[in-house]
Amino acid sequence: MGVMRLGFVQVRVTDMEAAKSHYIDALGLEKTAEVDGRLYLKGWDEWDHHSVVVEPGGAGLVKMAFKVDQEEDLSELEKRIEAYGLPVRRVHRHEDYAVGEGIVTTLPSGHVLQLYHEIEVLGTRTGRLNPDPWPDDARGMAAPRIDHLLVTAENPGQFTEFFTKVLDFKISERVVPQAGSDEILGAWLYRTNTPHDIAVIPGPNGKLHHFAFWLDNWQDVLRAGDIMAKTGIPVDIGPTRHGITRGTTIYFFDPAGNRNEVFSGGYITYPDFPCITWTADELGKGIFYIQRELNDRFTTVLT
Amino acid sequence: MARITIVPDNVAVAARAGETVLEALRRHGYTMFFGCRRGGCGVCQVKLLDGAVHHGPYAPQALPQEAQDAGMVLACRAVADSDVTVEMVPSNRLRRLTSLWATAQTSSESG
Repeated sequence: MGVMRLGFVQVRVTDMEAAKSHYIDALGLEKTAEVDGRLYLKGWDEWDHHSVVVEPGGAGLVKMAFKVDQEEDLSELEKRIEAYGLPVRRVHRHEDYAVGEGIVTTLPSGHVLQLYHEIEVLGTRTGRLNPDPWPDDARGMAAPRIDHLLVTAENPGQFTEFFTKVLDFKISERVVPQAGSDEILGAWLYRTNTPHDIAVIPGPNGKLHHFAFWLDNWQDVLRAGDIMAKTGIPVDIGPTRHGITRGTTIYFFDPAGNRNEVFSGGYITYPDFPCITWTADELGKGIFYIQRELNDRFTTVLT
Repeated sequence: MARITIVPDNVAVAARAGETVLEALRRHGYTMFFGCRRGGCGVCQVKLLDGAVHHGPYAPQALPQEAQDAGMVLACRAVADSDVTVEMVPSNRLRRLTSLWATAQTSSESG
C-alpha cells in the first residue's frame, strides 16, 4: 500500500549540547542512541527507534524519511520515482543507524526524501500489555510523537504533484490564487488519517519551515508554552489556532534556529475525504485563524 | 559595559556583559525584524561599521562568507567586545516599542 507515515526527520544543529537540552529536557523526547556524533530521539509513545535525528553542521533539514507498509513497496516506489524522472539511490541496511534498506531521492525542490520499511523497534515504557495511559518521569512538554513537517518549494504545484501522483498522498487542504483556480500555492498532504503528514508552501527550494510534535489537547499546548517561557525558548507565534487543519499550535525555535511546532487537534482524514480549498486572500485566516494575518517572521524565517 | 550605537537612527544603548546586540536593544525597549534568535535564519543581519564583536553559535547559511566579507553580523548572536556602531539594513528598521519606559531606562543606564 506504499507510504505509511512520516518516519523521521534529520536536522542539523549548531550546538549538540544545546540541542539535547531542547529536545530531551524541554520537548521531553527520549534519547535512544548517540552514535558517530548523531543524536537519535523518539517520543514516549513511539515504538520505532527514532523519529528525530540531530547532527552537527548548522541548521536545516538533512532529509525526511517516510516508512512504507511492506518491504516490496520500496522496489515498486523506486520504479515509480524513476519513471517520474528522478534518480534513485539504494540505501544499504544500517547505512542509517537502526534503519533497514531503503531508497533515497532528491526532489526537484531540493529536499532529500528517503523511504524505508525496516527500523529497529524499541517499544514504549508503557508497553503493549495492560498499559498505563502515560509513562512516569515524563519531562517537559512530554511530546508523545512527531506529527508532520512543512517545507518550502519554488514550485509547490510540482512538489504536490510528486507526492500525489508518485507516492499516492492525498490533499486535505490547498491554497489557490482565487476560487475556481487549480493552481496550487500550498498543499497539506496525508497518507495517515491526520490532516497532514507533510505540507508545502511557496519559498526557496530545499528549506525547512518547521517540523511538529503532537500534543493531546489544547491544555497541553498552553502548558508547552509555559515551559517555553520558563526555559527561554524563543516563540514564533501562538498559542493560536490554524484555519487549515483546525489544529491548535505554538511555533518556536530550537537552539539552532530550526522552527518546531507543538500541534494538537484537527480533524481526521480518510480515503474519500474531500479536498478543502482556501483562496490566497483568506490565507491569513487559514494559517492563523484567530489573528487572521500572516506575519513576516512566519513567512520568511526558514532554515 | 559596551555601548551599541545604531545608525541611521543614532540610538545608543548599553549592553551588559555577554548580552547580544538584539538582547540589548530589546531590553531598552527597542525592536527590529528578527527571526529565530538562535543564529539559524539570518534575517537579523546588521552591518558592523565600527568596533568588534564575537558571535555565539550560528549556522553557516545564516551568515555566509560573502555577508561576513561585507561586514555583516547577526544581531541575535553578536556580542560587542568594544563600543560598536552597527547599521540597519535597508529592509529592516529600528522601532521603539515602549517609549516612556525606554526613555527612563536609557537615561538611567547611560546617565
